[in-house]
This record gives sequence, C-alpha cells and structure tokens, in this order.
Amino acid sequence: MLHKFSSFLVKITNAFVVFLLCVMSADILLGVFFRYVLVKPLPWAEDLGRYLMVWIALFGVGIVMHHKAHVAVTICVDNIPPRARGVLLLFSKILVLAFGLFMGYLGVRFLAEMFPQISPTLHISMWWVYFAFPFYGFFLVVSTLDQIVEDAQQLRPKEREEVLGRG
Amino acid sequence: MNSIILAIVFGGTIIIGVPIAFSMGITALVGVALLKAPMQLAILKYFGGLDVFSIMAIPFFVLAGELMNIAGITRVLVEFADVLVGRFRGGMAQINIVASMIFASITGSATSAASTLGTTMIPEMNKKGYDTDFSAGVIASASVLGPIIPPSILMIIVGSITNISVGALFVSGFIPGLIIGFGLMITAWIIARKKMYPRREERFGFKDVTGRGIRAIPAFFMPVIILGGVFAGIFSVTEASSVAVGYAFLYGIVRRPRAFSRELYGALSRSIIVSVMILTVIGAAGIIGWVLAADLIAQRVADSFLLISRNPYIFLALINIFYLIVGCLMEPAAAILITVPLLLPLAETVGVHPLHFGLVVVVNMCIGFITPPVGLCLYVLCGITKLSLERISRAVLPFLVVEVIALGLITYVPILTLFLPRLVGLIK
Repeated sequence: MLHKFSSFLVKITNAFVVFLLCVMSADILLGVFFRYVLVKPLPWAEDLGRYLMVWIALFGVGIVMHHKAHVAVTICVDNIPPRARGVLLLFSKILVLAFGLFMGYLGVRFLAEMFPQISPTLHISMWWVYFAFPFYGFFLVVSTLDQIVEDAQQLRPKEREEVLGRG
Repeated sequence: MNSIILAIVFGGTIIIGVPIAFSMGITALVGVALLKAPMQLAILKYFGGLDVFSIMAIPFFVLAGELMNIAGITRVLVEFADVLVGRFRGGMAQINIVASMIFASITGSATSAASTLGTTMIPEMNKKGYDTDFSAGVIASASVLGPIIPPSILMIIVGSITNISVGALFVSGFIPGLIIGFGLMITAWIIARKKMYPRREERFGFKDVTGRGIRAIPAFFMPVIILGGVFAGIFSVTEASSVAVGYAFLYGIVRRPRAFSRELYGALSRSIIVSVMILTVIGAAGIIGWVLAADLIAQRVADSFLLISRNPYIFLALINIFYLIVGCLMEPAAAILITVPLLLPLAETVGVHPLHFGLVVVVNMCIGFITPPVGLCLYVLCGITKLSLERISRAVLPFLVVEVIALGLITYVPILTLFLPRLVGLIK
C-alpha cells in the first residue's frame, strides 16, 4: 500500500521535475537568445531559472531517495554482522525520516511566518519559491518510510544493494 | 565545544550509513540549534546555498552529457579514438583513455564517464582478450579526467562558493588533464606490452579515417561552444551550459531522431537523479557554511593550520595529503563544499594563487573518485563488471600512482595551471 503510494508519487514528481528541467533549459536559452542575438536582455530569465532549480532540488529529493542514489558510506556497516547491520541501517533511515519531518515542519512554519516579499523581476511573491520546502519534507518522509517498511519486512536482510552515487 | 559535537554528529551519522547529504543536513540543524539561532534560518540558508546562478550549470552539463550519450556520441568517439591510437599495443586501452579525454570535454562528471565508457567498452575488451580487471582499471582511472578537463561539476562547485572564476578554472584544467591523460596512456602501454595484449593489426584506409573523423566533428563543437564563449568573455559558464544543452538536443534530433525521442525522457530522468543528488548536498552545505562561519570554526581551523607552517610548499604538501585522505573517505562535492571555504583564505595568506589552489583541490578530489573505500567510480565499475571492490582497487593501483605523480607535478609547477588562463587574459 505504502509502497504503491510511494512509487506513484515518485512517478508523478519525476514527470513534474523533468518538466521543470525542460522549462529551466528553455528559459535560460531564451535569455541567451534575447541577450546576445536581440541585444534586449530579459530581466527575469535568470531569476526564474534559479527558482526553478530550487524547486527541482526540493521536489526531486524523494526520487533520489527512491532510487537509493544518495551517496552514502556503507563500508563500515558492510563489515559488521548482518543482524547489527540491519539495525544500524534502520536507525540511519529513521534519522533521515526525522530530518525530513523536521525540515517539512520548518518549511511550513517558514511559510506561515515569512515576511511578505515580492521578487523584483518576476513580480511574484517569494512565498511561492519557498512553497517547495514543505514538499521537500513530505517527499523525503514518504520515500524513506517506504524503505523503512521494506527493510523491516526483510527481517534477515540479504546482500544490500550498493548505494551508488554519481557526481 | 560546539565544533566537537558537530564533528561527532557528522562522523557518527556517516559511519552508520546515513546518506552524506542528510548527514550534512542533520549536522547543520544541530549546529543552528547549538548556536541558539531561530531554526527557520535553516530554510533560508538551504535556499541561499541553491539560489546561485553558476550552480545551474551543473544540471545543464549533466543533461548535455546525457543527451549526447543517447545521441550515440560514445560510439562515434570510440571509433575516432581507434583511428588515432588503435594500433598501439593494448589498443583498446589507449582508445579508452583518448575517448575518455574527449568525453570529458562533453561531460563534467567522472561517474558518468565511467558508466558510459564502461558499459560500451568492457564487453568489447573482454571479447578481444583483455583481463576484465585491467579494463576496469583503465576505465576507472581515465574517468577521473571528466571533471578535470572542462566542463567540470566540481569546478562549478568551487566557483560557486569562492570568488574564483569558473571560467578560469575550466581553462586551467586543460593542461593538467592532458598530462594525466598521457601519463595513463604510457602506463597502459607498459602493462599491455608485459601482458601481450593485442593491438589493431589492419590499417584503416583513407575512407575510414576521414569518415570517422568527420563523424566525430560534432563532438568537438561542444568544447568550442562551452569554452569559446567563456574564453571570449561574452558568456557566463551557465549560459554556455544551456547552449550546450540546446546543441546536444539538436544534434540528437538530427542524428537519430527516433531513438533519440524514445530515450529522451529516460535521459532527462537520469539527469534529474544525478543533479538532485548533488543539489541536495549543496543545499545542506548552505546551512553548514553559515554554522561554520557563525561559530568561527573556519577561523580556528585556519589558525591551527598556520601554526604548522607558512611556507607555501609545505602548505601545498599538507593540502595534498589532507585531500587525498579526505578523497578516500568522502564524496568529492560534499568535501569541497565543507573544506574549500575554510582553506582558501589560508592559501591566499601563504601566497598560493587561488586559482592554482582551486585546481589542486579539484584534481585531488578527482583522484578521490578512484580511491577506496569511498571511490564512486570504483563502485560504478563494480556494478558493470561484477568484480569486487578489492579487485578493482588493485587494478587501479598502477594508474593511481601515475595520477598522484602527475598531481605532484601540477602542485609544484604552478605554471602548468596558470599559463592558459593568463594567456587568454582570465587572470593577471
């Protein structure tokens, strides 16, 4: 149930974030075109691009967690008895869960208490930019919870998939 | 006291396997709490870490590399490299290194170089009688050129947190990249002769040579776009990277329209995973940076470093030792984000050129991609070849030694780094 929900959420956010990435590319390219070809720079292109990137970074966190693509150091836990390893890995995920919960909570509080501020070039409220923080917490919590349940079900964890990163 | 608590939290969470991005995040939140600052500050600083124009070049270069890859550029590069070096002893290894060097001027990421060339080359090298260990060793050690030869994700990160120009860093990476590349080629040649690996026996005709050369030309436009604009001082690196995305997109659509559009969503999704992984680290580093500055930890690290020596040569030696160790234990982007703001002022104090310092750090961190236990490119090749980390690490060793020697050269002959940026007027 949770797993299905988490996979569904990842699929949707993936499409959304891919869309944001396309818009961001088009936006900056458009900015380049206006600046160097038409010599009539768009004042908002840079700001919009940066805010889109912030959204990508925040909305995308659950996708990366889902694919276990966050770089982690597993050399220490790989060399201890499987039982203890399972417990430690579970604990490490609970920490991530707590981090996600807290960041989400901070995000909500931030939005509630934030000083009204308008982006000078885009003429939108900065509220919309920070709007992604509660989602950061939410997506992180859902995908981590999904993995915790999965780990807990495999009472005797087999050879864990290598946590691989690219960078 | 605070710094000790933070070090324990950071080390402890990493050891039990918390992903580095969240170890940094948790440590940062503890830091904000210890300093009794309002917790919402974390949101502001996380945002501030990401809200930087030059960082946008990271997703763009990742995407451009992915697009060029699904456009089939890897095969084209391998065929082109075959023309150049295929007839040397151990030709496939040489091809690999040359293709890596060209691929490095399209992508800025070591792991993407390792996975792309690994999946293409390992099966072929197996067929031709190369030991898988050797093939994996060559590919892993050549993949570190990805972020040394421009463009480079690590250089963008260095530029985003310091006042070193990303463009100047890009240009400064050329000669060091070539030095390391040639070092690897010589090493591969010596090993290949000892093990009697094959070479390409037949000679290519004129038609083959020109055909392969012409097909490879679009690949060389990429560095021209990226560096041309930056060299001329008209483009920022981020703008250049967006143009690189547009170019890669057009190239793919024209070269193989159907396959390209079929694989486009997959390539976009892969770029998202790679980019967001790095952006998550960068955001958390935004909070950590504030904590370190507010708690004057930076100042104290600096002071204790300067107690040891103020001699620039000794300083650089210490920096190399420090970063080679850090490279074994940490993910390069995270390591740069945490340590460079602390150490750069020191470099300037003892009289090391900031650009030179930046490049030395980047080369160190790139070597960190192939040093166990945390050597990301080693893991990529473990995944492709199914060999153990120990075996691949051993296969990488001779190449690693050469890279460390090259690092020494780059460290103590600053002109290798500074010559090109000076030539084009990016630094004085």
